[in-house]
Amino acid sequence: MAIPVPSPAEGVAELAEQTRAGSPAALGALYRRFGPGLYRLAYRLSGSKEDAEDIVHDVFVGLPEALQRYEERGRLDAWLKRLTARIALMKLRAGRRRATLRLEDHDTATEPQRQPETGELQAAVDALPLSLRSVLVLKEIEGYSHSEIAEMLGISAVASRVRLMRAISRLRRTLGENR
Amino acid sequence: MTDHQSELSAALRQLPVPEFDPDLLARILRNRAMGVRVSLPSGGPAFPWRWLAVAATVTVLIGGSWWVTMSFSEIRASRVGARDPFGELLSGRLWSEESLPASPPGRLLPRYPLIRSGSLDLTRLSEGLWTYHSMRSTEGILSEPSFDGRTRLRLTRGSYSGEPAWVITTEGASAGQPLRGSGDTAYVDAVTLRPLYSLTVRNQGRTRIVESFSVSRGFQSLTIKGSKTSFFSGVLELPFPPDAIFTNDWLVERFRMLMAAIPLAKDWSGSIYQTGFFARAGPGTVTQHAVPLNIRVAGRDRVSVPAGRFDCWRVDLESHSAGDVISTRWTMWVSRDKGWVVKSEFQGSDYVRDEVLVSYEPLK
Repeated sequence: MAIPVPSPAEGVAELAEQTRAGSPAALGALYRRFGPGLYRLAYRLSGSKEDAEDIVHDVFVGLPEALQRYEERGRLDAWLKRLTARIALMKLRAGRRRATLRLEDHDTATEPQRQPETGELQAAVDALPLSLRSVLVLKEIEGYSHSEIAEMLGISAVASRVRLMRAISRLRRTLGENR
Repeated sequence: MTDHQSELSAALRQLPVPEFDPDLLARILRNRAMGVRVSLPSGGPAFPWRWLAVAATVTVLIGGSWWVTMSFSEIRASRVGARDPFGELLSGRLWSEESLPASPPGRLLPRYPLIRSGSLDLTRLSEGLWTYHSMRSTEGILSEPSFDGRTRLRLTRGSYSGEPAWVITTEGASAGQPLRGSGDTAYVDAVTLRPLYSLTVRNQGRTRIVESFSVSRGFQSLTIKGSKTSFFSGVLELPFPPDAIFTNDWLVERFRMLMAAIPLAKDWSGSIYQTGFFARAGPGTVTQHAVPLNIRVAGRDRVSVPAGRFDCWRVDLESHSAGDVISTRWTMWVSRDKGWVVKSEFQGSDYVRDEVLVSYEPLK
Protein backbone atom coordinates (compact mmCIF):
# COMPACT_ATOMS: atom_id res chain seq x y z
CA MET A 1 0.00 0.00 0.00
CA ALA A 2 1.15 3.56 -0.64
CA ILE A 3 2.31 5.20 2.56
CA PRO A 4 1.46 8.91 2.84
CA VAL A 5 4.37 11.25 3.43
CA PRO A 6 3.82 14.52 5.34
CA SER A 7 5.85 17.65 4.97
CA PRO A 8 9.18 17.35 6.85
CA ALA A 9 8.65 20.81 8.28
CA GLU A 10 5.77 19.70 10.45
CA GLY A 11 6.57 19.72 14.16
CA VAL A 12 5.88 16.97 16.64
CA ALA A 13 3.02 18.84 18.33
CA GLU A 14 1.26 19.36 14.98
CA LEU A 15 1.82 15.75 14.03
CA ALA A 16 0.41 14.59 17.36
CA GLU A 17 -2.63 16.81 16.86
CA GLN A 18 -3.19 15.52 13.31
CA THR A 19 -2.68 11.91 14.44
CA ARG A 20 -5.21 12.44 17.19
CA ALA A 21 -7.61 13.66 14.50
CA GLY A 22 -7.06 10.43 12.56
CA SER A 23 -4.53 11.42 9.90
CA PRO A 24 -2.65 8.35 8.56
CA ALA A 25 0.04 10.64 7.12
CA ALA A 26 0.77 12.14 10.51
CA LEU A 27 0.77 8.70 12.12
CA GLY A 28 3.28 7.58 9.50
CA ALA A 29 5.46 10.61 10.21
CA LEU A 30 5.46 9.91 13.95
CA TYR A 31 6.32 6.30 13.21
CA ARG A 32 9.31 7.31 11.07
CA ARG A 33 10.51 9.70 13.72
CA PHE A 34 10.03 7.59 16.83
CA GLY A 35 9.43 4.04 15.59
CA PRO A 36 13.08 2.92 15.37
CA GLY A 37 13.86 4.07 18.94
CA LEU A 38 10.71 2.46 20.31
CA TYR A 39 11.55 -0.75 18.45
CA ARG A 40 15.04 -0.80 20.01
CA LEU A 41 13.54 -0.32 23.46
CA ALA A 42 10.94 -3.04 22.86
CA TYR A 43 13.60 -5.41 21.52
CA ARG A 44 15.87 -4.88 24.50
CA LEU A 45 13.02 -5.50 26.91
CA SER A 46 11.61 -8.52 25.10
CA GLY A 47 14.72 -10.08 23.59
CA SER A 48 12.67 -11.03 20.54
CA LYS A 49 12.36 -9.34 17.16
CA GLU A 50 8.81 -10.65 16.67
CA ASP A 51 7.66 -9.46 20.09
CA ALA A 52 9.29 -6.08 19.56
CA GLU A 53 7.52 -5.62 16.21
CA ASP A 54 4.26 -6.65 17.83
CA ILE A 55 4.74 -4.10 20.58
CA VAL A 56 5.52 -1.27 18.14
CA HIS A 57 2.56 -2.36 16.02
CA ASP A 58 0.26 -2.10 19.03
CA VAL A 59 1.65 1.27 20.06
CA PHE A 60 1.03 2.86 16.68
CA VAL A 61 -2.28 1.14 15.98
CA GLY A 62 -3.58 2.44 19.29
CA LEU A 63 -1.80 5.79 19.17
CA PRO A 64 -4.53 8.06 17.72
CA GLU A 65 -6.93 7.06 20.52
CA ALA A 66 -4.19 7.05 23.18
CA LEU A 67 -3.19 10.60 22.20
CA GLN A 68 -6.59 11.76 23.46
CA ARG A 69 -5.12 11.23 26.92
CA TYR A 70 -1.77 12.86 26.14
CA GLU A 71 -1.67 16.24 27.78
CA GLU A 72 1.49 17.65 26.13
CA ARG A 73 3.03 18.56 29.45
CA GLY A 74 6.03 16.38 28.75
CA ARG A 75 7.90 15.47 25.60
CA LEU A 76 6.07 13.15 23.25
CA ASP A 77 9.08 10.87 22.78
CA ALA A 78 9.40 10.31 26.54
CA TRP A 79 5.66 9.62 26.77
CA LEU A 80 5.87 7.17 23.86
CA LYS A 81 8.79 5.38 25.48
CA ARG A 82 6.92 5.00 28.74
CA LEU A 83 3.93 3.70 26.82
CA THR A 84 6.09 1.25 24.88
CA ALA A 85 7.84 -0.01 27.99
CA ARG A 86 4.53 -0.52 29.73
CA ILE A 87 3.04 -2.47 26.82
CA ALA A 88 6.19 -4.56 26.54
CA LEU A 89 6.09 -5.43 30.23
CA MET A 90 2.38 -6.23 30.10
CA LYS A 91 2.90 -8.53 27.16
CA LEU A 92 5.91 -10.20 28.69
CA ARG A 93 4.15 -10.79 31.95
CA ALA A 94 1.16 -12.22 30.13
CA GLY A 95 3.17 -14.76 28.21
CA ARG A 96 6.39 -16.57 28.71
CA ARG A 97 9.28 -15.00 26.86
CA ARG A 98 9.65 -16.37 23.43
CA ALA A 99 13.40 -16.58 23.96
CA THR A 100 12.77 -19.77 25.90
CA LEU A 101 11.13 -21.30 22.86
CA ARG A 102 14.28 -21.33 20.78
CA LEU A 103 14.63 -24.62 19.03
CA GLU A 104 17.38 -26.36 17.23
CA ASP A 105 18.19 -24.96 13.84
CA HIS A 106 16.63 -21.65 14.84
CA ASP A 107 16.15 -19.38 11.86
CA THR A 108 19.07 -17.04 12.35
CA ALA A 109 18.73 -15.17 9.10
CA THR A 110 17.07 -12.19 10.76
CA GLU A 111 19.14 -12.16 13.94
CA PRO A 112 22.01 -9.69 14.24
CA GLN A 113 25.53 -11.03 13.89
CA ARG A 114 27.13 -11.12 17.32
CA GLN A 115 30.74 -10.92 18.32
CA PRO A 116 31.70 -13.59 20.87
CA GLU A 117 31.91 -11.01 23.68
CA THR A 118 28.59 -9.35 22.90
CA GLY A 119 27.04 -12.79 22.41
CA GLU A 120 28.00 -13.68 25.97
CA LEU A 121 26.66 -10.42 27.33
CA GLN A 122 23.42 -10.73 25.38
CA ALA A 123 22.95 -14.30 26.62
CA ALA A 124 23.56 -13.12 30.19
CA VAL A 125 20.99 -10.32 29.76
CA ASP A 126 18.51 -12.76 28.19
CA ALA A 127 18.92 -15.06 31.18
CA LEU A 128 17.86 -12.37 33.65
CA PRO A 129 14.31 -12.59 34.96
CA LEU A 130 11.99 -9.94 33.58
CA SER A 131 11.87 -7.98 36.86
CA LEU A 132 15.64 -7.45 36.78
CA ARG A 133 16.09 -7.13 33.02
CA SER A 134 13.47 -4.39 32.74
CA VAL A 135 15.22 -2.23 35.35
CA LEU A 136 18.63 -2.90 33.79
CA VAL A 137 17.45 -1.90 30.32
CA LEU A 138 15.54 1.17 31.48
CA LYS A 139 18.38 2.44 33.68
CA GLU A 140 21.59 1.43 31.97
CA ILE A 141 20.54 1.63 28.33
CA GLU A 142 17.64 4.07 28.24
CA GLY A 143 19.02 6.28 30.99
CA TYR A 144 15.89 6.70 33.09
CA SER A 145 16.22 7.73 36.73
CA HIS A 146 15.17 5.34 39.45
CA SER A 147 12.17 7.48 40.28
CA GLU A 148 11.05 7.41 36.62
CA ILE A 149 11.52 3.63 36.51
CA ALA A 150 9.60 3.33 39.76
CA GLU A 151 6.69 5.24 38.21
CA MET A 152 6.83 3.17 35.06
CA LEU A 153 6.92 -0.21 36.76
CA GLY A 154 4.70 0.61 39.72
CA ILE A 155 7.46 -0.11 42.25
CA SER A 156 9.38 2.08 44.69
CA ALA A 157 12.62 3.86 43.75
CA VAL A 158 14.41 1.79 46.38
CA ALA A 159 13.13 -1.41 44.80
CA SER A 160 14.39 -0.16 41.44
CA ARG A 161 17.89 0.39 42.91
CA VAL A 162 17.88 -3.03 44.52
CA ARG A 163 16.81 -4.72 41.30
CA LEU A 164 19.52 -2.92 39.36
CA MET A 165 22.18 -4.05 41.83
CA ARG A 166 20.91 -7.63 41.63
CA ALA A 167 20.84 -7.51 37.83
CA ILE A 168 24.42 -6.23 37.62
CA SER A 169 25.57 -8.73 40.20
CA ARG A 170 24.00 -11.60 38.26
CA LEU A 171 25.47 -10.36 34.99
CA ARG A 172 28.96 -10.22 36.50
CA ARG A 173 28.58 -13.65 38.00
CA THR A 174 27.37 -15.15 34.72
CA LEU A 175 30.06 -13.46 32.66
CA GLY A 176 32.71 -14.41 35.22
CA GLU A 177 31.68 -18.05 35.12
CA ASN A 178 32.06 -18.10 31.35
CA ARG A 179 35.66 -16.91 31.48
CA MET B 1 28.66 5.24 39.03
CA THR B 2 31.79 3.06 39.11
CA ASP B 3 34.07 2.60 36.12
CA HIS B 4 32.95 -1.01 35.89
CA GLN B 5 29.33 0.05 35.76
CA SER B 6 30.08 2.69 33.11
CA GLU B 7 31.81 0.04 31.04
CA LEU B 8 28.86 -2.26 31.47
CA SER B 9 26.41 0.48 30.43
CA ALA B 10 28.49 1.21 27.34
CA ALA B 11 28.66 -2.48 26.45
CA LEU B 12 24.91 -2.86 26.95
CA ARG B 13 24.21 0.09 24.66
CA GLN B 14 26.34 -1.49 21.98
CA LEU B 15 24.46 -4.78 21.96
CA PRO B 16 23.15 -5.29 18.43
CA VAL B 17 19.47 -4.94 17.60
CA PRO B 18 18.13 -6.72 14.50
CA GLU B 19 16.56 -4.72 11.69
CA PHE B 20 12.80 -4.55 11.93
CA ASP B 21 10.29 -5.44 9.27
CA PRO B 22 10.31 -2.62 6.66
CA ASP B 23 6.61 -3.31 6.03
CA LEU B 24 5.64 -2.75 9.64
CA LEU B 25 4.29 0.75 9.00
CA ALA B 26 2.25 -0.52 6.05
CA ARG B 27 0.80 -3.22 8.32
CA ILE B 28 -0.03 -0.66 10.99
CA LEU B 29 -1.81 1.65 8.53
CA ARG B 30 -3.58 -1.23 6.82
CA ASN B 31 -4.86 -2.59 10.13
CA ARG B 32 -6.07 0.81 11.24
CA ALA B 33 -7.81 1.32 7.90
CA MET B 34 -9.57 -2.02 8.46
CA GLY B 35 -10.84 -0.85 11.83
CA VAL B 36 -8.37 -2.64 14.09
CA ARG B 37 -7.92 -0.76 17.37
CA VAL B 38 -5.71 -1.39 20.37
CA SER B 39 -6.54 -0.04 23.77
CA LEU B 40 -3.26 1.24 25.20
CA PRO B 41 -2.40 1.80 28.84
CA SER B 42 -1.61 5.27 30.08
CA GLY B 43 1.85 6.68 29.42
CA GLY B 44 1.77 8.30 32.85
CA PRO B 45 2.65 6.86 36.27
CA ALA B 46 1.69 3.25 36.78
CA PHE B 47 -1.54 2.71 38.59
CA PRO B 48 -1.33 0.05 41.35
CA TRP B 49 -3.42 -2.43 39.34
CA ARG B 50 -1.98 -5.37 41.22
CA TRP B 51 -3.50 -4.22 44.50
CA LEU B 52 -6.69 -3.17 42.82
CA ALA B 53 -6.92 -6.65 41.24
CA VAL B 54 -6.46 -8.31 44.62
CA ALA B 55 -9.19 -6.14 46.14
CA ALA B 56 -11.49 -6.80 43.18
CA THR B 57 -10.88 -10.54 43.38
CA VAL B 58 -11.78 -10.63 47.05
CA THR B 59 -14.92 -8.60 46.37
CA VAL B 60 -15.93 -10.84 43.47
CA LEU B 61 -15.34 -14.00 45.49
CA ILE B 62 -17.45 -12.80 48.38
CA GLY B 63 -20.18 -11.22 46.27
CA GLY B 64 -20.06 -13.90 43.55
CA SER B 65 -20.62 -16.84 45.88
CA TRP B 66 -23.74 -15.16 47.25
CA TRP B 67 -24.95 -14.24 43.77
CA VAL B 68 -24.36 -17.69 42.27
CA THR B 69 -26.27 -19.31 45.13
CA MET B 70 -29.20 -16.96 44.53
CA SER B 71 -29.14 -17.32 40.73
CA PHE B 72 -29.01 -21.07 40.73
CA SER B 73 -31.93 -21.36 43.10
CA GLU B 74 -33.94 -19.10 40.75
CA ILE B 75 -32.92 -21.16 37.76
CA ARG B 76 -33.83 -24.43 39.38
CA ALA B 77 -37.43 -23.28 39.53
CA SER B 78 -37.60 -22.77 35.77
CA ARG B 79 -34.97 -25.04 34.29
CA VAL B 80 -35.76 -27.59 31.66
CA GLY B 81 -34.67 -30.35 33.99
CA ALA B 82 -33.56 -33.79 32.89
CA ARG B 83 -34.85 -33.59 29.33
CA ASP B 84 -32.51 -34.82 26.65
CA PRO B 85 -30.97 -31.69 25.10
CA PHE B 86 -30.16 -33.27 21.75
CA GLY B 87 -33.60 -33.39 20.20
CA GLU B 88 -34.41 -29.99 21.63
CA LEU B 89 -31.18 -28.55 20.38
CA LEU B 90 -31.53 -29.80 16.85
CA SER B 91 -35.13 -28.68 16.63
CA GLY B 92 -34.12 -25.28 18.04
CA ARG B 93 -37.00 -25.23 20.52
CA LEU B 94 -35.00 -24.37 23.59
CA TRP B 95 -33.83 -20.95 22.58
CA SER B 96 -36.25 -18.11 22.50
CA GLU B 97 -35.44 -14.53 21.59
CA GLU B 98 -35.66 -13.68 25.28
CA SER B 99 -32.77 -16.01 26.03
CA LEU B 100 -30.37 -14.00 23.90
CA PRO B 101 -27.49 -12.81 26.03
CA ALA B 102 -26.79 -9.14 26.45
CA SER B 103 -24.14 -7.61 24.20
CA PRO B 104 -20.66 -7.98 25.64
CA PRO B 105 -19.05 -4.76 26.84
CA GLY B 106 -16.22 -3.38 24.71
CA ARG B 107 -16.14 -5.98 21.95
CA LEU B 108 -12.61 -6.77 20.87
CA LEU B 109 -11.59 -6.35 17.27
CA PRO B 110 -9.41 -8.76 15.34
CA ARG B 111 -5.85 -7.63 14.97
CA TYR B 112 -5.30 -9.01 11.51
CA PRO B 113 -7.58 -9.42 8.48
CA LEU B 114 -10.24 -12.06 9.09
CA ILE B 115 -9.57 -15.39 7.40
CA ARG B 116 -12.36 -15.98 4.90
CA SER B 117 -13.47 -19.37 3.68
CA GLY B 118 -12.52 -18.43 0.10
CA SER B 119 -8.86 -18.21 1.04
CA LEU B 120 -8.62 -21.76 2.40
CA ASP B 121 -6.77 -24.54 0.61
CA LEU B 122 -9.15 -27.42 1.31
CA THR B 123 -7.12 -29.86 -0.80
CA ARG B 124 -4.53 -30.05 1.99
CA LEU B 125 -6.96 -31.68 4.41
CA SER B 126 -6.95 -35.46 4.55
CA GLU B 127 -8.38 -38.19 6.72
CA GLY B 128 -6.06 -39.52 9.38
CA LEU B 129 -5.22 -40.28 12.99
CA TRP B 130 -2.80 -37.99 14.81
CA THR B 131 -1.44 -39.09 18.17
CA TYR B 132 0.15 -36.51 20.46
CA HIS B 133 2.11 -36.87 23.65
CA SER B 134 1.50 -34.07 26.12
CA MET B 135 3.47 -32.90 29.11
CA ARG B 136 2.49 -30.21 31.54
CA SER B 137 5.20 -28.42 33.47
CA THR B 138 5.06 -25.73 36.11
CA GLU B 139 7.67 -22.99 36.35
CA GLY B 140 9.73 -24.93 33.80
CA ILE B 141 10.77 -27.42 36.43
CA LEU B 142 8.02 -29.67 37.68
CA SER B 143 6.22 -32.12 35.47
CA GLU B 144 3.04 -33.49 36.85
CA PRO B 145 2.65 -37.16 35.93
CA SER B 146 -1.12 -36.88 35.93
CA PHE B 147 -0.85 -34.58 32.95
CA ASP B 148 1.63 -36.75 31.14
CA GLY B 149 -0.67 -38.32 28.61
CA ARG B 150 -1.66 -38.90 25.04
CA THR B 151 -4.34 -37.48 22.84
CA ARG B 152 -5.45 -38.96 19.56
CA LEU B 153 -7.39 -36.88 17.09
CA ARG B 154 -9.23 -38.50 14.21
CA LEU B 155 -10.25 -36.52 11.14
CA THR B 156 -12.72 -38.25 8.82
CA ARG B 157 -15.13 -37.29 6.09
CA GLY B 158 -18.80 -37.42 7.00
CA SER B 159 -21.98 -35.45 6.62
CA TYR B 160 -24.16 -33.26 8.75
CA SER B 161 -27.77 -32.56 7.79
CA GLY B 162 -27.02 -34.04 4.40
CA GLU B 163 -24.11 -31.71 3.67
CA PRO B 164 -20.47 -32.84 3.50
CA ALA B 165 -18.57 -32.25 6.72
CA TRP B 166 -15.34 -33.11 8.45
CA VAL B 167 -15.74 -35.09 11.65
CA ILE B 168 -13.17 -34.70 14.42
CA THR B 169 -13.20 -37.15 17.32
CA THR B 170 -10.93 -37.17 20.32
CA GLU B 171 -9.47 -39.98 22.38
CA GLY B 172 -7.26 -39.55 25.41
CA ALA B 173 -5.36 -41.41 28.10
CA SER B 174 -2.83 -40.73 30.81
CA ALA B 175 0.61 -42.32 30.52
CA GLY B 176 0.58 -46.12 30.28
CA GLN B 177 -3.20 -46.36 29.86
CA PRO B 178 -4.97 -47.43 26.65
CA LEU B 179 -6.46 -44.65 24.56
CA ARG B 180 -10.22 -44.45 24.67
CA GLY B 181 -12.82 -42.17 23.22
CA SER B 182 -13.67 -39.19 25.35
CA GLY B 183 -16.98 -38.79 23.56
CA ASP B 184 -15.91 -35.45 22.12
CA THR B 185 -17.11 -35.13 18.54
CA ALA B 186 -17.21 -32.13 16.27
CA TYR B 187 -18.63 -31.61 12.80
CA VAL B 188 -17.27 -28.78 10.68
CA ASP B 189 -18.53 -27.68 7.30
CA ALA B 190 -16.38 -29.26 4.58
CA VAL B 191 -16.26 -26.03 2.54
CA THR B 192 -16.18 -23.21 5.08
CA LEU B 193 -14.59 -25.17 7.96
CA ARG B 194 -17.03 -23.42 10.31
CA PRO B 195 -18.29 -25.54 13.21
CA LEU B 196 -21.74 -27.07 12.71
CA TYR B 197 -22.16 -29.21 15.79
CA SER B 198 -20.04 -30.42 18.67
CA LEU B 199 -20.43 -32.56 21.74
CA THR B 200 -17.98 -32.17 24.61
CA VAL B 201 -18.08 -34.66 27.47
CA ARG B 202 -16.32 -34.20 30.81
CA ASN B 203 -16.36 -35.63 34.34
CA GLN B 204 -16.91 -39.25 33.27
CA GLY B 205 -19.88 -38.28 31.17
CA ARG B 206 -21.62 -36.26 33.87
CA THR B 207 -21.05 -32.94 32.10
CA ARG B 208 -22.07 -32.54 28.47
CA ILE B 209 -21.84 -29.43 26.35
CA VAL B 210 -23.67 -29.50 23.04
CA GLU B 211 -23.25 -26.74 20.51
CA SER B 212 -24.71 -26.18 17.08
CA PHE B 213 -24.21 -23.26 14.74
CA SER B 214 -26.17 -21.70 11.93
CA VAL B 215 -24.79 -18.99 9.66
CA SER B 216 -25.48 -16.25 12.17
CA ARG B 217 -26.10 -17.92 15.52
CA GLY B 218 -24.71 -20.42 17.94
CA PHE B 219 -26.78 -22.56 20.29
CA GLN B 220 -25.28 -24.09 23.38
CA SER B 221 -26.57 -26.39 26.09
CA LEU B 222 -24.92 -27.60 29.25
CA THR B 223 -26.14 -30.62 31.15
CA ILE B 224 -24.69 -31.50 34.54
CA LYS B 225 -25.82 -34.85 35.85
CA GLY B 226 -25.85 -35.45 39.58
CA SER B 227 -28.38 -36.10 42.28
CA LYS B 228 -30.38 -33.43 40.48
CA THR B 229 -29.67 -32.89 36.81
CA SER B 230 -29.20 -29.27 35.78
CA PHE B 231 -29.69 -27.99 32.30
CA PHE B 232 -28.74 -24.59 30.92
CA SER B 233 -28.82 -23.17 27.43
CA GLY B 234 -27.98 -20.04 25.50
CA VAL B 235 -27.86 -18.36 22.13
CA LEU B 236 -25.03 -16.31 20.68
CA GLU B 237 -25.35 -13.91 17.76
CA LEU B 238 -22.17 -14.40 15.77
CA PRO B 239 -20.51 -10.97 15.47
CA PHE B 240 -18.67 -11.63 12.21
CA PRO B 241 -19.44 -12.15 8.51
CA PRO B 242 -20.89 -15.46 7.31
CA ASP B 243 -17.75 -16.39 5.38
CA ALA B 244 -15.33 -15.63 8.26
CA ILE B 245 -13.69 -18.65 9.84
CA PHE B 246 -14.31 -19.29 13.53
CA THR B 247 -13.89 -22.08 16.02
CA ASN B 248 -15.83 -23.10 19.10
CA ASP B 249 -12.73 -24.94 20.29
CA TRP B 250 -11.64 -22.80 23.21
CA LEU B 251 -8.36 -24.64 23.80
CA VAL B 252 -7.50 -24.85 20.09
CA GLU B 253 -7.17 -28.62 20.23
CA ARG B 254 -9.46 -29.74 17.42
CA PHE B 255 -8.72 -26.66 15.37
CA ARG B 256 -5.18 -28.00 14.89
CA MET B 257 -6.64 -30.54 12.49
CA LEU B 258 -7.78 -27.74 10.21
CA MET B 259 -4.58 -25.68 10.23
CA ALA B 260 -3.42 -27.41 7.04
CA ALA B 261 -6.05 -25.49 5.08
CA ILE B 262 -4.80 -22.09 6.21
CA PRO B 263 -2.40 -20.62 3.64
CA LEU B 264 0.56 -20.03 5.96
CA ALA B 265 3.58 -18.27 4.50
CA LYS B 266 6.44 -16.08 5.64
CA ASP B 267 5.08 -13.05 7.55
CA TRP B 268 1.49 -14.25 7.05
CA SER B 269 -1.08 -13.15 9.61
CA GLY B 270 -4.82 -13.55 9.97
CA SER B 271 -7.53 -13.64 12.59
CA ILE B 272 -10.44 -15.90 13.30
CA TYR B 273 -13.04 -15.74 16.06
CA GLN B 274 -13.36 -18.10 19.00
CA THR B 275 -16.66 -18.67 20.70
CA GLY B 276 -16.66 -19.59 24.36
CA PHE B 277 -19.16 -20.62 26.98
CA PHE B 278 -22.38 -18.71 26.58
CA ALA B 279 -25.06 -20.97 28.04
CA ARG B 280 -27.06 -19.02 30.57
CA ALA B 281 -27.16 -20.15 34.16
CA GLY B 282 -29.14 -17.07 35.09
CA PRO B 283 -29.41 -13.44 34.07
CA GLY B 284 -26.02 -11.96 33.34
CA THR B 285 -24.08 -15.18 33.68
CA VAL B 286 -22.71 -15.11 30.15
CA THR B 287 -19.01 -15.54 30.70
CA GLN B 288 -17.57 -15.36 27.22
CA HIS B 289 -19.00 -14.55 23.84
CA ALA B 290 -16.77 -14.47 20.80
CA VAL B 291 -13.27 -13.04 20.82
CA PRO B 292 -10.66 -12.76 18.09
CA LEU B 293 -7.91 -15.33 17.88
CA ASN B 294 -4.96 -13.66 16.20
CA ILE B 295 -2.66 -15.94 14.23
CA ARG B 296 0.76 -14.98 12.92
CA VAL B 297 3.66 -16.80 11.29
CA ALA B 298 6.57 -15.80 13.52
CA GLY B 299 9.36 -17.78 11.93
CA ARG B 300 10.58 -21.01 10.52
CA ASP B 301 12.21 -23.89 12.43
CA ARG B 302 13.25 -27.45 11.87
CA VAL B 303 11.66 -29.54 14.59
CA SER B 304 12.34 -33.12 15.67
CA VAL B 305 9.46 -34.97 17.30
CA PRO B 306 8.80 -38.71 17.68
CA ALA B 307 6.84 -38.70 14.40
CA GLY B 308 9.89 -37.40 12.50
CA ARG B 309 11.78 -34.29 11.56
CA PHE B 310 9.81 -31.47 10.01
CA ASP B 311 10.45 -28.14 8.36
CA CYS B 312 7.86 -25.98 10.12
CA TRP B 313 6.27 -22.57 10.31
CA ARG B 314 6.39 -21.33 13.86
CA VAL B 315 2.92 -19.90 14.40
CA ASP B 316 1.89 -17.69 17.30
CA LEU B 317 -1.76 -17.64 18.33
CA GLU B 318 -3.13 -15.18 20.83
CA SER B 319 -6.59 -14.53 22.14
CA HIS B 320 -7.83 -12.00 24.66
CA SER B 321 -10.58 -12.27 27.17
CA ALA B 322 -13.29 -9.63 27.33
CA GLY B 323 -11.80 -6.36 28.52
CA ASP B 324 -8.48 -7.26 26.95
CA VAL B 325 -7.04 -8.02 30.38
CA ILE B 326 -5.93 -11.63 30.06
CA SER B 327 -4.27 -12.98 26.97
CA THR B 328 -3.82 -16.62 26.12
CA ARG B 329 -0.93 -17.68 23.97
CA TRP B 330 -0.10 -20.72 21.98
CA THR B 331 2.84 -21.46 19.77
CA MET B 332 2.41 -24.15 17.15
CA TRP B 333 4.89 -25.62 14.76
CA VAL B 334 3.06 -26.48 11.55
CA SER B 335 4.84 -28.66 8.99
CA ARG B 336 5.25 -26.74 5.76
CA ASP B 337 4.65 -29.66 3.43
CA LYS B 338 1.69 -31.40 5.08
CA GLY B 339 0.20 -28.73 7.29
CA TRP B 340 0.25 -30.92 10.41
CA VAL B 341 0.73 -29.35 13.81
CA VAL B 342 3.74 -31.36 14.95
CA LYS B 343 4.44 -29.50 18.18
CA SER B 344 2.53 -27.02 20.25
CA GLU B 345 3.02 -25.11 23.44
CA PHE B 346 0.17 -23.65 25.45
CA GLN B 347 0.94 -21.02 28.04
CA GLY B 348 -1.40 -21.49 31.01
CA SER B 349 -1.73 -19.18 33.99
CA ASP B 350 1.22 -20.78 35.81
CA TYR B 351 2.11 -23.75 33.69
CA VAL B 352 3.10 -24.73 30.19
CA ARG B 353 1.64 -27.63 28.28
CA ASP B 354 3.82 -29.06 25.54
CA GLU B 355 2.50 -31.45 22.96
CA VAL B 356 4.42 -33.30 20.30
CA LEU B 357 3.23 -35.45 17.44
CA VAL B 358 4.04 -39.09 18.12
CA SER B 359 2.53 -40.69 15.05
CA TYR B 360 0.28 -40.20 12.08
CA GLU B 361 -1.76 -42.94 10.45
CA PRO B 362 -3.58 -42.30 7.20
CA LEU B 363 -7.13 -43.59 6.91
CA LYS B 364 -8.35 -45.30 3.79
